[in-house]
This record gives sequence, structure tokens and C-alpha cells, in this order.
Amino acid sequence: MALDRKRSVRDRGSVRSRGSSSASSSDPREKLKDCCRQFVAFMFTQVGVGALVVSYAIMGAFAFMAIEGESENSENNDHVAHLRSSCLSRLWNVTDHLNVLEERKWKLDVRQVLLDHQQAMALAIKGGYDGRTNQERWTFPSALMFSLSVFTMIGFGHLVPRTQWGKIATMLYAVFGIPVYVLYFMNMGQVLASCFKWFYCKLVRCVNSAGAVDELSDDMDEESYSGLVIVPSTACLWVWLTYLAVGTIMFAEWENWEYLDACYFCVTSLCKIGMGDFVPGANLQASSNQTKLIINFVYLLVGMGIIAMCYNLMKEEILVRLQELKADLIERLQDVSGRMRR
Amino acid sequence: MAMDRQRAELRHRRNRRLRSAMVLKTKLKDCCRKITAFFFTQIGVCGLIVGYTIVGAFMFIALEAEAQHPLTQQVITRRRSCVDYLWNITHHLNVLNYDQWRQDVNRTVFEYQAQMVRHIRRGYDGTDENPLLMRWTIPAALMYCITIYTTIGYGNLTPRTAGGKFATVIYAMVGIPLMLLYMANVGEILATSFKFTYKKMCKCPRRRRRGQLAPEVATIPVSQEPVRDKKRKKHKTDPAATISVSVIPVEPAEEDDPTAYDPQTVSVTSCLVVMSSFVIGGAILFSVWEGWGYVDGSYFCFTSLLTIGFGDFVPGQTIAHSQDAIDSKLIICAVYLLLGMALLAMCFNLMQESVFMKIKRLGRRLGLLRDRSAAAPAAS
Repeated sequence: MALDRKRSVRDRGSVRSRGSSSASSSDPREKLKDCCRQFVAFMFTQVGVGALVVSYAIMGAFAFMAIEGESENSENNDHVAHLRSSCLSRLWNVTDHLNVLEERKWKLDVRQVLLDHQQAMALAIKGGYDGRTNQERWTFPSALMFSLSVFTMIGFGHLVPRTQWGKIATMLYAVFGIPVYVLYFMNMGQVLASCFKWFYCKLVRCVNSAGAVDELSDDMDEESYSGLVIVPSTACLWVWLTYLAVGTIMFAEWENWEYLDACYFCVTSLCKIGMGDFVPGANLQASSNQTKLIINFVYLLVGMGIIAMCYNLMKEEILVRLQELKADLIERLQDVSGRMRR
Repeated sequence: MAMDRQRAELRHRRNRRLRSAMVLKTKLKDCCRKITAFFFTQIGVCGLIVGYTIVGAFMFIALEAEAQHPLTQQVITRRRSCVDYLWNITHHLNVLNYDQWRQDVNRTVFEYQAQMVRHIRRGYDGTDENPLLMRWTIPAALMYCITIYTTIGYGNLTPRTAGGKFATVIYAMVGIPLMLLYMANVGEILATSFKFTYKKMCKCPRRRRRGQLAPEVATIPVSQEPVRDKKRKKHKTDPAATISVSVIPVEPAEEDDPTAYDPQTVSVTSCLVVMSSFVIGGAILFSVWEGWGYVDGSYFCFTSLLTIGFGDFVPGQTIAHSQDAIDSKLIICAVYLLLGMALLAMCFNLMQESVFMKIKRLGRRLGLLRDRSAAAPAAS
């Protein structure tokens, strides 16, 4: 497809340069109008898909806030209160039964009691107790991050639905959101890939020659085209690495993480693994982190777009190489079997 | 004269038989060769994935087994100071007044608890102080590796050392393309065999389709188009065969039968059925084993197979069980996930074109996607 377009552009270019001056007067205006129309359609499409993704995330955020934020965490709170009172009873027993308060023994026993209490607390926290009410947990930025993590399939897990309806809503949200996300992914990938190809072409042309003569430009189209298939793989890997580095520095500075931790977060999030042990702005109070969470959101979305672009650019090359590899393998096997037969 | 004709006929018939025998033999050899190449490639990829998992598991165990959570020391210190504080309270009440004592101790323990909550939310999970519980057992490490390259990423087990984190990054960047390769390969195989069995099942009553099934049998092992065209032209010049290579299912052959079903739409429903039965089966299995509700079980299967992977439900993570039970459950969960990924790849393969067309149609109807031909020169 790209090859045909390149050839058609070259043909049109050569036809134009051969001096058809009669049609050229209306051509620039027509071209401009055409360009404008295409640009508007293009923007509307991409903007439309982007807007769809963002609005789906926002709608999901509100829905989850309504479902999960309103629910009471009562059984967890009761459970934790019960744990604490049983801990206190045990402490009292320890104190009461030692007729002589011997410090070392008492401390040993008390330490054991506290340790048990702590293990029980860890279990309770895994079961959902947080020390905050559900309303405080499910603020808008957190809910937005949660929706994003569902339909981009990252799935951080630092904030999860606890009610039954919340879980059902999550499943439905995923089922409808993942096609939207895939649409965004493919669209974004195509757009970024074509932008990158154009930009790269311009760069190559600038670097290769200053003045363009007709036959030279024909040659260069061929060269730059054959260059385009192979070189952008490394070029788009560089783009991805730069984006990763930018994210690493940004998150390390903001969240006071180590650089390795920030890099680990960026890679696991962009690769959609989403461990959830590091989530920007997850552990602090809500009000100060709105901007940070939104920037995180944008970073992840654009990062997915860049991965889509790399995938788009490298797909053909990888497929061709895989086919060659397979053909090679089959030929070798045939040779081997032929030789064995002989 | 009649004798000559008879002898000539006999010779003709013998030659024809010999020729057909030879053709059959070459067909058989061809088939064998293709099957070997097929197995070699597919088994190669599967073996690569399994080997990669095992190597990764051992690497992570080596890196992470001894590591303590960075907050552990803080937790121990805080607990010690809490104990000291409690001692002070107890010691200084000359008469042990229960109510007063209880009030003071309650306040102290509440503060201690709030600190614990903060620590635990930052990742400390209390397992370091339990000497009997090893986090990085072999099945747990295998599960961890699988969650990395399938991009599920539960997060119930995470690396704590710098080496572990670095290894995770590298492991992910190599493993994810490998997983995509595995899924593409296995998806293709499963899709073609599914289509084959489906056609065989539905075409049994139709006898006249038998002849057109043969070229499809031969196309199962390898379906790379440019390579195949070269090889096929050596053995067969059957135009139907070359057509069936580029278009699977065989659409031109079925155009003559107006009552034939459209294989693509039927496959969509059937593979949705397969997928949902797999999810439901897994949901029932895990909810029965782990004592989750059915909603929780299907929530777990759903989020795991869609590679979301929150990590709030992971089989075998309830600490009360014995070590052996946890291990076997983790392994079965790992097998379930890999199988589920393969089935997803198969469904994706089968439904690709129809789903994309439907999405495009939806987009166009919603007015979001204008006619692609108008935007094509600008966009791509």
C-alpha cells in the first residue's frame, strides 16, 4: 500500500515537472481545499477516537465511584475492631497472670501478641480494610486510574472493587472497553506511524542532499523508500527508549522513587503488566494528586500509542523475517531428509 | 489386433496404477515432511516458552529468595517501641486499674495499628517474620514469570531487590514478543484445526464436498503465502488449491451452493461458546477450590484471561493452606492461564476480520470513523 502510494506520488511529481502549466493554476487551490478537507476528516477521526477513549474512562470513573464509593466497608471495620479488642484481652491476660511483673518475660509475651495482631491485620488489609472510608478511597482521580487500568488491561490492583456489583460492573466495563481501546490503539498506531515515516523521510532527505534535481529525487525516493523499511525499526526503538527515559526521570523526581524503581514502573505499565506495587500518587491524600494522576493517565495513553506505532512499523519487517526463517527451516529439513534418504 | 489392443489397455491400466501409486507416495512423503516441519516449528516455540519460564523462575529465585522488604526493619523497630510504651503504661500504674489501663493500651495499640496499615499499604505483608513461609517457592516463581510475559501481572509477588527489578524489566522485554509469537503460532494451529473439525462435522452429509477438502488438509501445516505458492506449484497446479491457500475458508468453492452456511459467522458464535464455557468452567473450578463465590470466581477468570490481572484474587494465596496444596493449585492455575491464552489467540484468529469490520461499521455508524478512503492518503 505504501509502495503504491510512493509510486503514485513519484509519477504525479514527474508528470508535474514535465511542465503541464495549463492545469497547474487551479491545482494549488484545489490541492489546498483537498488538503484542508482531508485534514479536517483526519483530525475528526483521530480526535473522535481519542475523545471516545477519554470519555469512556471518565464515564467509568463516575460509575465506579457511584458503585464502590457509596458502599460501606462495615464488615471490614468491624473485623478490625474485633481484632483489636481481642488483642487487648490477650494483653490483659498476659499482664494479669504474671504475679510479679518481670519485664523481660512480659515484653516477650507482649511482642508475640503484637506480632499475631499484625499478621491478622495484614490479612485484613488484603481483604480490603484500609483505614479510610470507601468514599476517601474512590476519589475521582483514583477511579479514573482504575478505569484506565481496566480497559487498557494493565490492571494495577492497588484499588479494586469490593462489592459484588462492582465486580460485575468491572467485567462488563472490560468487555465493552477493550474493543474501544483496541480501536484507539490501531488508530493511534497508524497515525503515529505515518507521522513518523514522514518525519523520518524529511530528515533523511535533509541529511542526504541539499538541492533536489529530478533524476536525483527519483533515485532518492527509491533509496529512502528501501531505507524506510529497515531503518525505522531501530529508530522507533530509540523513540520508545527516549519515552521510557522521560517517564523514568519524571516519576523518579515526583514520587521520590529510585531511578530503577521508576524505570521498573514505566516498563511494567507500558507493557501492560501492571504489578501495582508502584503506582504514582496512590498512597497519599487525594486532593494534592489530581494533576499527577492526570499526567500519569496521559503518559500511559500516549505510551500505548507509541507502542502501537512501533508495532505498526515493525510488523511487516518481523513478518517477512519470520517467513524467511520458516522457509529456511523447511528447506534445511528437506535437505536433511533428502540426504538421509540417499 | 484385439490382442494388441488388450495388451495396450493392460499396459495403460498398469501405468495408470503405477502413476497413481507414485502420486500417492509422493503425496504421503510430502505430508510427512510438512508434518515434521510443523511439529518442529510449533514444538520449538512451545518448548521455548516452557524453557524460558523455567529459566526465569530459577533466576528470580536466586535473586529474590533472601531479600527482605525494605520496611521490615522499620516495622520491627516500631513494634519494639510499642512494646516499650506498653510496658511503661503497665509499670507505672501502681494499682492495676483495668479500665484506665485498657484505655491507655487501646490508644497505643490503635496508633500502632495505623502505622501498620501504612506500612502494609506500602507493600509490607508480614511474611518476612514468619520463618516457615517462603514466598519464592518454585511454583510461585513460575507463576510470577508467567504473569510477566502474559502481561497479566498480579502483583501479589513482586521483586524487592534492585537486581530482581532489573531482571523483571529485561525478562518482560524479551518475553512479551516471545509470548506474542507463541500465541500467533498456537492460535493459527488451533484455528485451522477447529475450522477443519467444524467443517468435517457439518459437511459429513455433503458428499460432493469431499474432493475440495483434500487441498485444505495439505494446507494445514504451513500457511505462509509467498513461500507456499512456490512450493505448491511444484506439486499441484490445481487452481482451487492455490485459491484455498490465500483464502481460508474456501469461499469461491462454496459460492456454487447457495444454501451453504457462511463459515465465518458460524465460527464466531461457536468460538464465543468455546471461550465462555472455558471461562465458566474455570470460574466453577476456582470458586469451589478456593471457597470464593461464583461471582468472584468468574471475576478472577475474566480479569486474568483478559490479562488485566488485579491480583486481589490469586489461587493459592490464602495463607492458611499447607504448602503442597498451594503449589499444586499454582501450577494448575498456570496451565489454565496458558491454555486460556491459546484459546483467546484462536478466537482472535477466527474472528479477526469480522470483528474489525463490525467495529469499523460501528464507528462509521457512530459518525466517528469517516469513510477510510477519503482519509486514507492523509492518514496512512
